[in-house]
Amino acid sequence: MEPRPWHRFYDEGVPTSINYLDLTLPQILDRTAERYKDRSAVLFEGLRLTYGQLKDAVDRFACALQAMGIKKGDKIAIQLPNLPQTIIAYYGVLKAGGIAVMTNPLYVAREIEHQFNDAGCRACIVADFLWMQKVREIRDKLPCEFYVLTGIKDFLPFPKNFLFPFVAKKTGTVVKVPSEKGVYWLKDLLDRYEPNPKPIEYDMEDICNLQYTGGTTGVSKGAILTHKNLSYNVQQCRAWFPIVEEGREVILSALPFFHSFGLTVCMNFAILIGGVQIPVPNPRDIKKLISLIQKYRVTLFPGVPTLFNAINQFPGIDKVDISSVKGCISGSAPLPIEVAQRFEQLTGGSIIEGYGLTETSPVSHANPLVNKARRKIGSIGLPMPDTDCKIVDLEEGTKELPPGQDGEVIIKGPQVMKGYYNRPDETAQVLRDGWLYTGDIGKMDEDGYFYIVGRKKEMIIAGGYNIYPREIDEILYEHPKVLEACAIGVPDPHRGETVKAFVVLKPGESATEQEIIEYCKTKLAAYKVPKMIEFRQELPKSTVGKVLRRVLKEEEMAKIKKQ
Amino acid sequence: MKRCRFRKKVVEIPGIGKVLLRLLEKGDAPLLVELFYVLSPETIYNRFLTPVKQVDETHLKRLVEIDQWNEVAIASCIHEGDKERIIGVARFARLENPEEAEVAIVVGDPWQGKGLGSVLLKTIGEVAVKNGVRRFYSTIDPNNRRLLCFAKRFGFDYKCSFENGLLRLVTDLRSG
Repeated sequence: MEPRPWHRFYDEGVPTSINYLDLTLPQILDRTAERYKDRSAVLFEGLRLTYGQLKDAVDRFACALQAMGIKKGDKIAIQLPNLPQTIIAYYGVLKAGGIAVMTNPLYVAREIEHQFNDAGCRACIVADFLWMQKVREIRDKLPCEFYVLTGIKDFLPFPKNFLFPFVAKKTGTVVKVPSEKGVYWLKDLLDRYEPNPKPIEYDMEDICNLQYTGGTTGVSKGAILTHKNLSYNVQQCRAWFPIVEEGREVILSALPFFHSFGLTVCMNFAILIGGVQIPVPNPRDIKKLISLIQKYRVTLFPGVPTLFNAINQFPGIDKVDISSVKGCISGSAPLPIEVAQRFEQLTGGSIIEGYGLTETSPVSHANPLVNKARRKIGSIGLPMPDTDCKIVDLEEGTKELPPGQDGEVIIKGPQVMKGYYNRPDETAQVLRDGWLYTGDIGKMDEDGYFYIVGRKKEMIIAGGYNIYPREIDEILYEHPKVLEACAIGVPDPHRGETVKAFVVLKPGESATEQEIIEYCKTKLAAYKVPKMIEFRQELPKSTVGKVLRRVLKEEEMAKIKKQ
Repeated sequence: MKRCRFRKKVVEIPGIGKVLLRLLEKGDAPLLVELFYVLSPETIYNRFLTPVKQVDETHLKRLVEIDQWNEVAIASCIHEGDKERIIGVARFARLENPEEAEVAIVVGDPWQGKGLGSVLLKTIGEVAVKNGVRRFYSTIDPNNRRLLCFAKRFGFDYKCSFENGLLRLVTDLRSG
């Protein structure tokens, strides 16, 4: 790669270009299992899986999928919280030749239906409680031929597996599943099949994941991520962390695996470096998170600002030893300086802000980790090795703008997706000559550090999730009593932002706040559901009749200031 | 009461044919409703910045009951047999400073990409200048690259700023 201004500020030992291993993710797992066969790969509630055991389970599952008719290129949905089974399911699907369609466990029927049908999923691996709560009842509307179920307790050692139903009763994660055609249990399949799947001929350009991402239009679309995209991105992350000691790190996998950030920087990163990972199904349980850091002496902790902040604020955190943490990467939302400083003070480690999109597998930028003097507060950092980035004019997107000037951030690199699945028009809008048009407005300084200053898309960031207000508006407009609606993000001490919706009812109609919220719960994943509804006679509009979301936001901010 | 003067005219647009440009009138409400129902969700969103699904009577009234001075709207019409059909509308509404106005244009999806938008923007710009408007403002979805390119091609000298994911265009009509 040609020299770029940012290369001068890389940490010592970080290359500007990488000599990549041309290995797919399952091949990386095989390589690690060969090197560290007896070392721990996964720790979970008393369960310990070595790399040898993890590979064995993955191979058995891949073999089962192939025996059930899965062929190269078949799409398979995975709807699981972070569990050891999620790692087995994901790597098993890839090893069988399948394409993984990671699905948010919080999705409701409408969202599941859209995603599975859009991708054309032939099968689905799903948590038993999600099957009973959501998937089973819409089975007729889904393209899946069979389902593989797994329960949280399935992999717990005795006596935790025995006690689990009593502990988890109140969370709704204990269910009785009636046996029916086309429904199998992961545990049974692992028992029944041998660990010898048919080898698949891979090309690095073959599709690995259809990674769904929300869109400004309110419909989520599948980013086509190839084996090369995901394998190279995790290798780019590895190169960025020269302090990593292979085979010795402990990674807290608290970011959801269904999201590209958790998939790459937690699950795949741990496997690449032969580290041991601790999957966390519920990262909102801060007490538990802290106890895991303490108990397992976690060294690497990728997260989001709200998570780091919650740990900072946890009562008595000063008295807890979390000094094992040496490196953290924070993404999804700007990292406030006070949050970073406090967390570094508590751990003695380094926390850096990074940036990326689902479309970039996802990491494209990060601040230097080791040399603190090279970090710039408020900046998303420097492009990763082999990653090029430019700021271009908004109209045509063809003129490169000089340092200091605002424009659209565009990115080129081996981690950039191939396009959106079955959406040539939307692909053409964002991919031109290999450059990804991010839709984010930013600038670059003289040193080659990038800053995000705005967005070309309206977005609410709540607890690390991106929420597009238009999707909520669309759902509200579908309510038979609603004439007009507009959702905005309002500040929230815990989630960063939360959703508030303004609703105008049709003449003669009446509705309660709860009624609208309950309706939204049936159509939207919980994190997107408005927490507050305000009824209005009309929405503020400009002189030519355009709805002014900005005015609603200003009114809310003024109200908060007054309080 | 002041009223903008605009002499209606017929223009020939390739791919559409003869198009009548005239001031929008009170009685045009049913024709606007008809236009609304051929707009795609994207076009509706770009025009109103909300995914509105149906025409609200109050809003419709506001769109047609205008004084043609503070708020001016030009309709582009074709004839289908005896029936007139509105296929696009351009309008401006003066802001606090009467020399400044917000501008908006909508063209029905079946007639997009044929140059009607340019004709409407040029026409509404000329009417505005003749009637003392010196500057146009518009808030648009910045993903609407077609409109951005269109504004630039049109020779408009504009600056932009972002607010909540939207782009605010300022067009100085004197230099246009």
